[in-house]
Amino acid sequence: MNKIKKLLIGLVFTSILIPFSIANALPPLASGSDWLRDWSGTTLVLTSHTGPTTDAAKVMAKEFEAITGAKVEVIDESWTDLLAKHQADYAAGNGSYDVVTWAYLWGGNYVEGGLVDDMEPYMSSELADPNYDMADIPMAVQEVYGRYRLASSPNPDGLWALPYKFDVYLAMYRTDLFEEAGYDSCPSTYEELYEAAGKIKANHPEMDPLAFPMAMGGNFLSSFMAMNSGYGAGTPDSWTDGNLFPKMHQAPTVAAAKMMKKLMEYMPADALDYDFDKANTAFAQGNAAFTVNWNAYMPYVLDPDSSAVSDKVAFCATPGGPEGRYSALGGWVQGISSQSENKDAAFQLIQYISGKDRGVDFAMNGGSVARFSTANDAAVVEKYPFYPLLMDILKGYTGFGVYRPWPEIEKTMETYFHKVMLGEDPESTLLKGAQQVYVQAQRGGYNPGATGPKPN
Amino acid sequence: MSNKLTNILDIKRVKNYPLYMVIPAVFILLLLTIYPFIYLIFVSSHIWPISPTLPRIFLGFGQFTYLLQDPTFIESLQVTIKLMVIGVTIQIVLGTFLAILLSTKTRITSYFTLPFMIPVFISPVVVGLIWKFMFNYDLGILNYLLESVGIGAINWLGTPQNAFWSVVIIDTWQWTPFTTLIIKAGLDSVDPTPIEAATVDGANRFQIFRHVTFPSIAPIFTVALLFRTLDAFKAFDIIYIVTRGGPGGSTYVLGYNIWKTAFYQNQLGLAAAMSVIMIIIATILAFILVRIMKGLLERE
Repeated sequence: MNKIKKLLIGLVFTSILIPFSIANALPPLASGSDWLRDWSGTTLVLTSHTGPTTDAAKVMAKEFEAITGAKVEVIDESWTDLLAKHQADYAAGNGSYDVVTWAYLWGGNYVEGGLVDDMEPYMSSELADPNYDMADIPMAVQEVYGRYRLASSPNPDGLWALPYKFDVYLAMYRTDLFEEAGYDSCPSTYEELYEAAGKIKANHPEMDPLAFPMAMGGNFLSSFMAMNSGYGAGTPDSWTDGNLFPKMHQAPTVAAAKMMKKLMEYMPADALDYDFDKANTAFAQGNAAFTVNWNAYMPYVLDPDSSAVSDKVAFCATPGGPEGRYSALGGWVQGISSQSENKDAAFQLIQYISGKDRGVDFAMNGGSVARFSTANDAAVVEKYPFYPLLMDILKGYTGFGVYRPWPEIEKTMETYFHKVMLGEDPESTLLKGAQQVYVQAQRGGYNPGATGPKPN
Repeated sequence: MSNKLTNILDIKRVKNYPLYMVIPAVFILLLLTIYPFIYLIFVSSHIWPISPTLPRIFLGFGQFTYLLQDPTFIESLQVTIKLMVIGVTIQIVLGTFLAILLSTKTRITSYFTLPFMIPVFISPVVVGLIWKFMFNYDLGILNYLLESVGIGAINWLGTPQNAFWSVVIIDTWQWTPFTTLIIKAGLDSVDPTPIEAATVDGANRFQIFRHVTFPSIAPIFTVALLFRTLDAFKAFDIIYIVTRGGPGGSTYVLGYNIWKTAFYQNQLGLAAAMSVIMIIIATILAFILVRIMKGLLERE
């Protein structure tokens, strides 16, 4: 009987001590991490797209778990389906996510759609990282990624997101092939690129020198965007004006479309099926002399394990047109889900991932970081030599539309640009596209009529 | 006591008892079919963003009038009908020939029947991925084979015509075994006596098939046609994986258009209106085919 009594007392004490021992298992707060709270017992769900930046974010999430005691579940899915999945989840009111990641060009759907909360009040609260340093983030990135200033915004001065993945469209070229063709640097205009491609083709008839992402689903517009601004369609939005009046039928875009069609002479026969991955793989395998793509793809080309051209690749800005040289700004951002029940913890996780103190680690792990301090770090530059170029390029950037009907307008524009690439008359085809965009803008609740009547 | 129990259990004593017996089925039908359809019509009469906080505006038939003038919708409807007509015709004709071959009782055909059905068992997403790799211009096995026999590489997915036909090829590869299976089942159940009589009377193989076998299997033939027509009308998965509607909208079928409009473009109301039109067309098609089938059965 006594034995049973002793056993019972032992069990009771053990069960009391277990929670204390688990709590003591948490590491002490890392230096500079004392702004982080104890989130033991909290589970945070972060939704993002697959890729190296999210892989790096998973490492950061593990650190966050170790410091705060929170549990972080990172759900990464193909970027192409993310918007649809998020919208369906929010419509169902599932409240599945705490931290939401989206491409800034979908901003209208997230901000106007009420999927995310304004982070401005958090930024001045005790929850914020005192060393977060917004000034370390380029102003263009702060503005494009974080703000949503259209008249339809719930709060034009609100801060809806912090940078997650920094995407700039760059050019990559084969130094050996360009030198052989008589070029000691990257072509600075599309006309020069066309000439160079002709010479490379003459030297290597079996090669299609240019590999541009040209498929539908955002690929074509990404490749075309800088060209469009370079031919005079305007910046930072070369697609529509402030009233969403379309520009695609106007002379600059028609000229840019003709240039792109001309460049197709030196692209593979199935160029319109080339997406970001396919274009990058073609270049990395040595099947192309020049490509354009988001900087996130560049580590793949620099890695000898995945690239046959790692020792003969150089980077530069995408070429320019008669009206200047611009670079396309893409990127992914993170915000607090409006349906989250752990908003404070979610905010701290977002700041932990994108904070200044961890920028170098994030970049070295494969993340793409929009911070001056990271881009100037010697170790980062040694590993990723294109980083300084990214900051430089931001002086003249052009971007996607951020308004709510953008996904629909993007699809319409790509369809009509594809028709032109397939041989239809540029003027009349792009006019038809513009007419459709005009109607779509009206249906989205915008007023293109304030600029002018429907194009005809 | 026993009599009382028997009386209670004797359901025929209840007035209109058959009516009560169908009530659960009617309730389930209303809940699972009629209610969602009515709700779909309700949604289609609004501007209905999928985001819960955005306003929903009543439009009446506004979405439908817009769709009738929307070039993208009209183009996607044309592509869908073209894909359905061409794809299903090929599958039925090919399926009939293969069913006749497989119905010939030999040792080879009995071994061949099951492996022949494999494409039907594979998920359309997997089928799409397999064919996407095979259609690859530079690395695909199809172009490798074509080039090795001296025919040039084909730009399978890079031009509108080729991309459309590539989708037809994939659909045919996956679903011809299905039509074959159904038509073969019909052929196997045909009474051999009239065929033997026709043979004795000197009819050739084509005449036997045209005047004896085909009339017997015509209703089953129509079932295969009905299934495939409605299925082809709903095409989505292969397009989603292989072409994403491109190039230039040449494979932008209605199913893909609806998905993109609802969940990517945030316009649930417009997508619902497209779905209503799709349901109306599918119902008309099904009605016509069922009438044909009924006529054939009555004639039999």
